[in-house]
Amino acid sequence: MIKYILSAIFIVMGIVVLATAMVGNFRFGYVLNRMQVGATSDTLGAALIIIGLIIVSGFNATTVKLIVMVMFLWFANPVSSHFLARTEIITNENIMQECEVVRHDSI
Amino acid sequence: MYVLLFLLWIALNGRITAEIVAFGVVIAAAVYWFMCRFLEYSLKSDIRFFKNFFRTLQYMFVLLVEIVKSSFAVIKIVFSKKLDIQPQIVFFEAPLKSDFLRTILANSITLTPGTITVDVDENRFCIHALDYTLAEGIEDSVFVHLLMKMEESYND
Amino acid sequence: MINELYNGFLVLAMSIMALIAFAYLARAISGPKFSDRILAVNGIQTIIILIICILSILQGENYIVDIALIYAMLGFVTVIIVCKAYLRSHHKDRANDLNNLKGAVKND
Repeated sequence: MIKYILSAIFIVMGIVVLATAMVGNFRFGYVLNRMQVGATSDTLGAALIIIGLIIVSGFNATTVKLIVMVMFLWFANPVSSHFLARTEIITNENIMQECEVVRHDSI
Repeated sequence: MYVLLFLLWIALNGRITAEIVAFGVVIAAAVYWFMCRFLEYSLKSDIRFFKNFFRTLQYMFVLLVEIVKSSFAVIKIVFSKKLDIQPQIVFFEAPLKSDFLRTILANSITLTPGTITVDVDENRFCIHALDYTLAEGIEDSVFVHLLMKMEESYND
Repeated sequence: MINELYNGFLVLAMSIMALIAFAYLARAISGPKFSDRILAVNGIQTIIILIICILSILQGENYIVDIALIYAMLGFVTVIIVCKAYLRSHHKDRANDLNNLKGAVKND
């Protein structure tokens, strides 16, 4: 009883985060800003939904597989969004108009 | 690591019988040999991991807290009425020497919503941030301090 | 009773996520730039993976999560390869553009 309700709460939270990513995808005007909201909020949304599923499934092989799943997503998602951001910055001719550049390094 | 590979094999199979365990021992050994031979993994890495076990747990916990905190900041920005944001590209230097720890730092910066690592060149990081408040103080954040402590223990 | 209710809730969640995937699809069609489309494809992937995970709980089957895992790996490789191919086809002489960016800015 209580585990169903808890898991439902987690899944609703995850869907809210995913919907936020989608709304942000339509509200922002520039790709890098969209990427911030989209690709990275996806990580939290995925984690919340999978936590909800883990609560209801108890401890068995499915749970371990779901944990492996969320670990894989958390390792792979940053790499792909990094690649996407790098592609965008290298191929964009006038990146300087979109965002200001600040430096804290010595060179 | 060998134990971890073996447990992964068992989990992917979904049940435990004699032949699955036997195959698992062989296959985990083969994968471990492959990692040592071609991916520059060694028994030393295992020992390092056990030395830093509690620091790793602490790092994971800090990472989770940071993810949740900055997610709320990003959600607040998305649902704000006016959307006045100042995207920034920040260059900064982190005093880390090993490639593995640099990768971990870049990965966790990207994993926190609101900041994306664009490029890593030696120890110079290039970061895109959604708003200037999210990039504030990133060059001496909690991650850098924890990873510095880990690196000190590497040299022992 | 509560079990059936929960299953209904899962189906509802899956339909909402499918709607979000359709919204991403609209972004993928109308995106003005290349990166927009790849980003939308990445979002669709994540949602499909989550739908498959929910389906495995709904059906009570073990092996469906494997399919989700393989789909995640495939999607990751897709994004990386498409980005690499696009970078390769772009002008070669702007390859070290990040260095130009470093040279052009003022110190803070």
